[in-house]
Amino acid sequence: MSLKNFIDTLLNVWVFAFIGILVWLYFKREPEGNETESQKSVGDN
Amino acid sequence: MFKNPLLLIALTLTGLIAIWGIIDTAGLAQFSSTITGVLFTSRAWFIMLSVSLLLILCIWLAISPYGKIKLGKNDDEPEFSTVSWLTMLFAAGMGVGLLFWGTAEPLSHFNVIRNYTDTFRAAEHALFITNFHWGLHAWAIYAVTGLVMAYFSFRKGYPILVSSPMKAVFGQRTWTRSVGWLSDLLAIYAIAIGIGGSIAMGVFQIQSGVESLLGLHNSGLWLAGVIFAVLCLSYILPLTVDLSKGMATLSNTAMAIAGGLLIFVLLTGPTYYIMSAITGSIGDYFARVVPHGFKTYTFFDEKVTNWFQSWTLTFMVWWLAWAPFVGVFIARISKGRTIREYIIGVILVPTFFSIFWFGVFSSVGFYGVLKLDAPILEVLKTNINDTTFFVLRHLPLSTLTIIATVLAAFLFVVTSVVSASFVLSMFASGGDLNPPTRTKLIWGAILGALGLVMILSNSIDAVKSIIGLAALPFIFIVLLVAVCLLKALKSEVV
Repeated sequence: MSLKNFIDTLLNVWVFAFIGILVWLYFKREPEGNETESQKSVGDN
Repeated sequence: MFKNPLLLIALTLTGLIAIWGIIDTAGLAQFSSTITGVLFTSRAWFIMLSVSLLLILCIWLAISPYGKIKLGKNDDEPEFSTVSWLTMLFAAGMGVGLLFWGTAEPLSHFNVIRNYTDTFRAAEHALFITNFHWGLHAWAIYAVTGLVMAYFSFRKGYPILVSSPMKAVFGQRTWTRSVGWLSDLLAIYAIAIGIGGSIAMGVFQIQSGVESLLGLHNSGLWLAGVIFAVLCLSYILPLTVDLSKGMATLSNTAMAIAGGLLIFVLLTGPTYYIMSAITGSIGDYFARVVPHGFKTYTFFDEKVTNWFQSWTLTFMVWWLAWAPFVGVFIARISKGRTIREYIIGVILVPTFFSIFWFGVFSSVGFYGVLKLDAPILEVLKTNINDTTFFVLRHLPLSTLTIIATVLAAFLFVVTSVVSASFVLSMFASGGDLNPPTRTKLIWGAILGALGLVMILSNSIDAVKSIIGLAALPFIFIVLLVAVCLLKALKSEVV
């Protein structure tokens, strides 16, 4: 594998990992209370 | 100021880039070109996929029930009338870029594409590609960034920062604090380099206009230096006093001049030809725009892939560089609007305006090349900065229109630097809406130094690659905050 190919692979593996993290973050269940009282949706008032 | 590590690191980082560029301009340009070349080759698919997904996200949000959600409290009303709001959106998107590229960009594409197809198809496709670069995809990048900022600021009560969505959705954790901090830093870095590029482009444009007016040829760096000095002097005062209303007036004046220029060229140029081209380009654009967003020219020769990298990919990362800056501006003027109104206003209206703008300026250029055999393509090769003025010189009242173009370019650059200094100071001070004057002045100086670096490079291609280097990491941040928005919307009752 040439250096050029190796760098290309690394750069793309980073992108694949990033996409994986995004998908995981989207579906991850968040514990209640991430928002402080003052920062809850002001539209709910 | 010295108790704020983000500000110190951001100033040091951008300051070092400026010093490097001033000491060794060619070295920085070469370094940027090599790195962006590698990144563009490896990640072209990711950039195009990302910007296409951002556009699809915008369309989906506009038509989904989430479109009814207000950017603010449920009883908040928009601060500005719809007409004022749309005018201000124009002002955000209408920068010195449109003045610079109006004729030059479509003709540059034409010059490449005509080697692969018939002349008339090449002209049509060149105009389509230009509209693609300045249209829905560009505005989708701005729209998502601004939407995230407006939603988390006006509806959730967080400061207008790139890091706010992460802290709002995932809580105050080590990773949200560190990734958020890095995101704010990358936003500052991208804005600073992007504005530096606009200063350089503005100076190149003004320089060509002054050369045209005074009958100078190849005035070189001395005239660019004089123009740069006048620009710097012009934005120092607005940075020291609160001139928000005055700046709005200057920005509106620049818009009015550009609008007047557009109508003048439409009426004094070949009007039937221009209107026919615009009508054709509207149909062509909307028929092909979404599939074209996924096009990566994989199976084409090296000349085409180089062209794709130096235009399409560069423009997409250019919009990314400007996204935090324009996003803040759009967010601030959109409080009280629904997501649906916001998206329709932000992505559709400026796109139509761009189609009209490029339709007018490109058609005049194509008319000259295809019907009159005018040597515009030669001008494009020898001095791309002069393309707009070459066209204006062949229309009536050319002295007046060239002065108007120079003045509009000057005003666009001054208002951009003043606004960017404010946004940079605000980001670096944790969202403070009244950042200290000293911080704004320091940012003004850094932006000036970065502009000087790009002027010294004396090449629009070098400017493009330096901006690419700064903006590429920001694509990850835009996608991350978009996920934060989607996650937050899930908890909304619609």
